[in-house]
Amino acid sequence: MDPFDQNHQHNTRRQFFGRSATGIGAAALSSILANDLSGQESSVTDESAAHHPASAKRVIYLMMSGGPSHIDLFDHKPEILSRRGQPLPDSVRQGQRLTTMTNTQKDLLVLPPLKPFKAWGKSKMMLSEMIPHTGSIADDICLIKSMNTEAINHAPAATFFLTGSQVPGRPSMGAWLSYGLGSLNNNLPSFVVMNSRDRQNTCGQLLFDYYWGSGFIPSKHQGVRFRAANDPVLYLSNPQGMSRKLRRQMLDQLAALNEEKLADYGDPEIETRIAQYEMAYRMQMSIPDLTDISSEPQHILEMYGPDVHRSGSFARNCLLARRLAEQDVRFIQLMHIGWDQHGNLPTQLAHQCKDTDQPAAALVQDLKQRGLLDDTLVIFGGEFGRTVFGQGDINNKTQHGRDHHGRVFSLWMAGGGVKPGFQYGESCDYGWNVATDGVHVHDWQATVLHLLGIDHEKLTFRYQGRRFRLTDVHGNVVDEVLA
Amino acid sequence: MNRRAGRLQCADPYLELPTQDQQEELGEVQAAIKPIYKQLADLDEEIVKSLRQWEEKTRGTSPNIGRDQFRILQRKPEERSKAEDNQLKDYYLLNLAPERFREIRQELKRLEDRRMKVQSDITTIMVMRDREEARQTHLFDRGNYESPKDKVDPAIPVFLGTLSDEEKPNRLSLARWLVDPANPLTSRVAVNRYWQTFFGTGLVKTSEDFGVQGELPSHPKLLDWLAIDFVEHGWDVKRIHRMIVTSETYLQSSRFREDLLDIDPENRLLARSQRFRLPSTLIRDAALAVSGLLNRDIGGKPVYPYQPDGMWKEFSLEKFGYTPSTGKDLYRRSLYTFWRRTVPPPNMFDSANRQACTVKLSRTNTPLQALVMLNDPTFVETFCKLAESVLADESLQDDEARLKLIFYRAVAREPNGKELVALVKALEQSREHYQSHSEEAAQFISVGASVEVPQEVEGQQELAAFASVAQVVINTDEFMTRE
Repeated sequence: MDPFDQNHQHNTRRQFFGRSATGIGAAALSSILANDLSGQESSVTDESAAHHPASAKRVIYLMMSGGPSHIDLFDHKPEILSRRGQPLPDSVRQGQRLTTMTNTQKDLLVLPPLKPFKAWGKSKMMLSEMIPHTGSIADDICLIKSMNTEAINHAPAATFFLTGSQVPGRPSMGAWLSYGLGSLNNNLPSFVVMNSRDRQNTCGQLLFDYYWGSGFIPSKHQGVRFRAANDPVLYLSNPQGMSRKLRRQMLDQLAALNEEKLADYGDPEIETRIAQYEMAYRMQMSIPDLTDISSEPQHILEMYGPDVHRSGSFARNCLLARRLAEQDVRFIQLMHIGWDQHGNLPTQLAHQCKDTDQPAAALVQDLKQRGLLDDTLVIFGGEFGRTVFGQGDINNKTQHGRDHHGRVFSLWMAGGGVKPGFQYGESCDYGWNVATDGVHVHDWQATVLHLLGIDHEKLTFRYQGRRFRLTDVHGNVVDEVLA
Repeated sequence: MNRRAGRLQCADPYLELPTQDQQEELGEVQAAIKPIYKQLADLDEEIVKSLRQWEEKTRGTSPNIGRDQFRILQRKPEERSKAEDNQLKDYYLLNLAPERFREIRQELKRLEDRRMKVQSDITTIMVMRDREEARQTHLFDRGNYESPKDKVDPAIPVFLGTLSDEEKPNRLSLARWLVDPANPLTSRVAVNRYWQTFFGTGLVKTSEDFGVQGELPSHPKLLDWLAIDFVEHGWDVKRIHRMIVTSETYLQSSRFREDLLDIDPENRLLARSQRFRLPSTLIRDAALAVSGLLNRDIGGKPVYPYQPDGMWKEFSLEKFGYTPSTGKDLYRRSLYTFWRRTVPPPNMFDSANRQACTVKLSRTNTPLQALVMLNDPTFVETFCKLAESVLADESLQDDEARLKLIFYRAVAREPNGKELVALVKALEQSREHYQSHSEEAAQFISVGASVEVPQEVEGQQELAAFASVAQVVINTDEFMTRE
């Protein structure tokens, strides 16, 4: 066909789809049109923007960076207890490529979990004794034991989880939601990120800001990182010598100048700018209010554990996540560094569990007692799991660990319309392959979007000649985990 | 070989671009080094003799020498490798040999150090190079890189011309084809980008995509004419910039017109000029320029402007700290700011994320940008410097004249009546505030490194009051907008 004719057809088709509300969420649509035509921001949107009724309004994603060991914590495999030190059979390994950290290791010997598992709650969920607090909320969580990913290294695997592609450049999940659903709050960003790390600082992986980036969709949808520093958000505080009172007066004069310009030029972008300066001023109050935990009663602080008193800790961030959820922030992403135990599993895993187990469980309980868990989806999981075989000498008391493993691993979710006290999917006897009901990362992403009322095939953004979506061309909603 | 100079590393292949001075100095140093090599070679026998005597004397004692050298010393010369023996000899020569030898070696070291210094200052540019033997490329079966299928060879898309038979399809022929006058694409893409820079939107809106999925140009004949004119005038970028910015179309008012809203809501037909916010890099440059701080030097090494503490450390597992530049380097154009891909300069909002090639910046309007413009020390310093320069102008008789000049500097026009009222009010409020809070006045004007804080309290109060007004002016929509 003649390229000009072809182009013409494409454009006509696009105009047609663009004007009917098919293809993208109505919120995204209205904000795109508004942006293109008048420069207006879409402000607070209601739920009618979604494709179907949502069970979750907001997400708290506890992203465990480094790859927590499903073998030691979540995936109970009695069969491997008796196989300590036996080589991993080739029939199980199935030619899986290994990382450069173990592909020259002579033997791949089975290393059973460090600590026993036990049955928790009415659902008798088997979880390690290392995570007793998670055990105490077993009846609230939905444990998926058949997660799988193709990636075998941290950055590609985390990028895959968060953006749907191993190669950086796509919008992250929170950005998609901000784009698709808009904001529920006028004083806070719709996508907030907070990071924390292992105190021993031995199993860390770098975080990249594209983990909460907006890729090719407008950058206002990217996550806003709250820091542990004095200014939770960059440039939040007035400069020294600029009091809040004087700033208010100056903003009033600024607004007067901008209004005058608006009257003269009629550019709606000016109106938006006036509104954004006002929101910035409000954020200068709302964010410090939010990060100031002095009003939290003692018994709540105790739930999250002693670390809650340390700014920048995972426990503090979990408490802040609850406070953000109360303010209807749409997507709250907590990244905790330090699960990459290649060589010091026996010592580090316990520390890591201590730092994360209690706060994560407290968050779920705290949301629940406030009635927020029903429409808040909490997610706990890493970019992959770890190998059933030991890395290094498994008979060395302290110096050994496990390598990365993506063929099967575990992740839990709670609230927001997932089945509580429920387990889904099984791995094989070695915790190496999916045995039944595999949940690929794209399936999981489709499911999370579904819970938020979005059809993952319809939330798209056109870029460089084609429509992109979080799940690429894959993904099936896992109906079985929906409550 | 890779080359490293400080934080900057160049991977092979790269081009070195020494200045004439650098080339001359290198030649000079090289010429001075040559005879010294010869001198040392001539003396080698004597030197070795002296070395062996020293070795005999020293072996078995504990001399104060480097650890490596000590280890070599323990072995007899015949038990060493040539390299080890040379290492010991050089160490001896440089530090321990009789003065007549040592001095020669010291002189050589001085010259070598000088050569190193010159070399590390030479500008290097990473380039691409063809392999000696071209790698065979395949189509992958369904995109899977593990299943190569049909072989493919480099060529030009047939509808965009062909290479002559003499030309090998390599990087050179690609470069030639790109700028061949018969190539319809390159110059059109280029002029469209320039158009986009000045009008906010290209004649082809999808400036990244001229293919069948892209949009057709709004003014096809104009695009053709500009493209051909560009080639015929030797791809002279400055010339085409000048032609665009002096055109009637560009010089029109950008006032919104009611009569156009229905006919051409996006203003693609340019019946008025376009109005759009400047990129953040240019806003910073503009603020530096109006305050008189801008350093207009061209070229040279990257610089490190102000940045909140700890940003780099948080993203490098504490490995890299950020040391800001000092003096004039703080005020170079944003173009020269060192760009760390994982931690971009935090005040340069809406920048390309450097993960994939981007030809269109997003242009959003967020409260976080307002916080940058109001609170970033970079901008606060420009408020103070603008105020300082206006206060230093003794030809100005009264406050009104000073306010008018601040306004004029920032937006290149006189304020109208209402605007002047707002400015006067801003000054009154600021003055009143700082007269009763003189310590705040002193603080506000000490934010940047360049402000000369007046000794008298009254002087400090006046400077702070005018700086506070400058803050208002530099934060107007008009200041950050091309109109």
